[in-house]
Amino acid sequence: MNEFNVLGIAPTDDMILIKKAFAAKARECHPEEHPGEFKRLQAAYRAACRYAKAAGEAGGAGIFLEIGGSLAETDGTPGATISSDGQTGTEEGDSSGAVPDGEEEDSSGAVPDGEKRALSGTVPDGEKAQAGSVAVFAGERAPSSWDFDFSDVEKRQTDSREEFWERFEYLLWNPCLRNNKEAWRAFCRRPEYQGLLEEDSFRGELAGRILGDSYLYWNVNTLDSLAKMLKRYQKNKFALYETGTSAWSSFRRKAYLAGAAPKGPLLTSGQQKLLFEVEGTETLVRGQRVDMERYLYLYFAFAGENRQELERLHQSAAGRMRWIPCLRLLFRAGRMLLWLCAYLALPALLFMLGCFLLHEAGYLGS
Amino acid sequence: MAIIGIDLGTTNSLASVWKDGKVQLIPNSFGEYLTPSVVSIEEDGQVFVGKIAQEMLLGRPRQTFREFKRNMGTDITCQAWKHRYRAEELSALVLRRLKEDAERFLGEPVTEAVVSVPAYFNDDKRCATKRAGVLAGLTVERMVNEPSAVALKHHVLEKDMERFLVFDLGGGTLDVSLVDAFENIVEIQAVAGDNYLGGKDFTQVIAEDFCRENGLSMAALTPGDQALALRAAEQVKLGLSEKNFVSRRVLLEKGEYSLEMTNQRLIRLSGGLLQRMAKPIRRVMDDSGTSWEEIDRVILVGGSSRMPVVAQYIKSICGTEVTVDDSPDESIAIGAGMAAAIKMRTGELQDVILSDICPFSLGIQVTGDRFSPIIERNETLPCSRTGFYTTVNDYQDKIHFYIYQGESLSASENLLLETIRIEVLPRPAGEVRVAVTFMYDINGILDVKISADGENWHRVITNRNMGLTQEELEDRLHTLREMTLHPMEQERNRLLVETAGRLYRECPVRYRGVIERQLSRFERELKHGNDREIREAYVRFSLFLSLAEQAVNNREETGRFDESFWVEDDTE
Repeated sequence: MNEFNVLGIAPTDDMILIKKAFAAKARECHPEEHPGEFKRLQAAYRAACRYAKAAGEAGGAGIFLEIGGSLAETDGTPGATISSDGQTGTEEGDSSGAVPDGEEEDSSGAVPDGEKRALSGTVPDGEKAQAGSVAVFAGERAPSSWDFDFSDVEKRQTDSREEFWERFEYLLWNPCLRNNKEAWRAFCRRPEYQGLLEEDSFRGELAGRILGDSYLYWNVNTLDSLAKMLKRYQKNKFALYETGTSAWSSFRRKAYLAGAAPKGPLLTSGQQKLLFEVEGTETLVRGQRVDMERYLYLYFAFAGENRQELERLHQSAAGRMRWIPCLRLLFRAGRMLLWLCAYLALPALLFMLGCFLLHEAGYLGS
Repeated sequence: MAIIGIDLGTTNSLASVWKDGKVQLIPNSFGEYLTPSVVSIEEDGQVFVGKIAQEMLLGRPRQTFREFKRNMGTDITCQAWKHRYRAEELSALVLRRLKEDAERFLGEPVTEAVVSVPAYFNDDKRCATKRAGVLAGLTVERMVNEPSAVALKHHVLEKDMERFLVFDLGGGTLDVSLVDAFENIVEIQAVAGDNYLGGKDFTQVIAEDFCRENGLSMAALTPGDQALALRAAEQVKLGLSEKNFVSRRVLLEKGEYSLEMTNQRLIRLSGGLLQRMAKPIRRVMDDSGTSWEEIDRVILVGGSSRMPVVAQYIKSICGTEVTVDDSPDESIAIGAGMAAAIKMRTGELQDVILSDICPFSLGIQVTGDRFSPIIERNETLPCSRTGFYTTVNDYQDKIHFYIYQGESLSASENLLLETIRIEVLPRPAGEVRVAVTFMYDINGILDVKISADGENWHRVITNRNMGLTQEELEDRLHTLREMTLHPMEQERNRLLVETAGRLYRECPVRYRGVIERQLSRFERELKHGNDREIREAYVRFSLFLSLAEQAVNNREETGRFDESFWVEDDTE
């Protein structure tokens, strides 16, 4: 093997020998004085380490596992390639793609080449995580005269259940955020709630609370995205209790008829202003998830401390909005009726025409 | 010409140099190794750095600044009198003081230094550190990562073959590094950290609890009161390292309040902080794919790692042997001195090789706001990688390369380093082949080579001035040079004056007259006495002040004021 030639030893899987050889050779080419040579030596050392680890674990066969999480190995010359998967290449190629630039002539942009990963050294992430690491937090506490109880620190995980419901309420009765898909998405994607959402009973309770609310204020798109999200956590695809039940469908139907709150922009100007003032940033981009997460972070903190104030605001807003959905309900119902009439009217007309013609022709009674 | 190593910390700064066969710490004008990173600027432009400025924190909060290391690389400025100062300018003042101390110690001019930075500092912050050096009159060609400096120090002094984890919890930042050390090689394998987590956050937690318990609100206090509350919280935090239960009486303008804390209560309050501390550890272990059995030990370094709460928590997570570094404040400076010696190519350290890694991924933006990394994080330095790209639109004749540093998949969430525009021959999309080579070296200089159609473009990205033009930089340099650092000879006397000022604010009103009288007496003697009388006055006044300090501390702990300490010398 080339790397062992550079190190000056025979191929071996003894890490200590490899390290000693590397140290000895390194004395001759210190990176301060011979940077190029040292780089080659170091690359050889890495390759030798990988060989030794693989030989140790897989009995010398060809499965190479990554050490240090680095990408494809090179020998230091600029000719080496790395590139992303073929898949992303074709995706990008389809889109109109340009990085918007403001120059009239030609848009600019670049796309990674559609080549596969070059060398054999890589392994998909899932496997890599399992290979080297062992339960990170194993090990008992070292005995000492000051023995502290850290269960409080771990307990914060389970407290997130109450926190979830509290924040859920805040999102629910805020008329601006209730139908904001991004808000729900950002809220439910929080890492501390993932464990909760994987519990079936919890999801059932969540669905129950959503359904328990008035259909007048829900937008069908939001309900659909919530249903999709709940379904994503479902392990048993045949269980319908959350998203496929008749209760959910009828709720959805009613909400559709009510035609509640309009979709609107993802972050209202008031929300943007709040972010500006508190964070002092100029780079808000509307609709980005990052902004919604930041906004939620601030909003929940504010809501927690100013419950009454917020409740008062939302009551007054809710009062104003109450007649809108009712009116809309009427309009929609009326429209549906008209449409129904039109749908039935034609056959009815034809039928009457038929009867008339037949009557004229004398086939029907006088 | 010697190169010195500097540890520019959030709370304290130190300097060291390789002399007489070993690394020696450089003492300041008080004979101490630690110089607090506190700067106080007077109206006439005179600047105080270090212990004196620390005493001025309470009395003059509007002109005294501390813990500005977190703001390096940002546009956050502080205002003193008519001028606004950025974090790098304040750091430059600290560096200047360290430079003067070094010149006095070595007896020769010092022009170059190796400065330590947290491993997780991004490019903005590193460039700001380099600029601070320039503004102080020092060339900072190389920066060494703080945990790497600690690893260097441990390995050079102990010479074992081992793999260890360095956990560096300083005043404002946390860095975790996985190190593999054998013979003359110190190899950093993985790095992670948090730029906004440090001992300062624990102090904040204690101060907020104090306010909550006493029905106050931190934001509603005056700046003077806030400083007093934070100072009390800090003393409580330090006290908890020795005792399990600490209580103090805090004298604010509003009134007198009590502050009590135990270690267990602190754990409950700072649960979130402790959880945040575990994240970089987990990340480093995952990135390098090592298991806890392969780690020989964990070294805790940094002033805040002395807290028993932190040390115990790390022990409970790791399970391997955890050693607290014997001199947590000085290790980084010693390591920086060693790195300077390696750079100088002198002494026994010339064989030692510190192989560091790139803590962040570097890449360019591709269509759809995607980040395509060319150099992934934890790549050993120096490294060079190439990526191949092509055009997206037909007959495109320009390509813009936006070079980013960061981990996010969405390019615009990362840090933009540079934009390079090149021209290509118009051809159907997908037929143009562009090779982008990134070379990142140990001095943190990114070398970008782009070649397309046989043409090459070359850009070296170093020392980005972040929107400052050369003239603006010169201007700042000039302003800073005009500001004189307080002459070292008179520092001792000034320190006493400022300490008296602080004690005046802290002690009960009845006894303030005593301090004032003694202070004016001291100042009189400074003005009119000869050398011998000044020395006597200095000794007498410093003794008085130390007694007064003891009385004030005692009172804060026990609630009683012991008048036997209060000895007034009536002989005039």
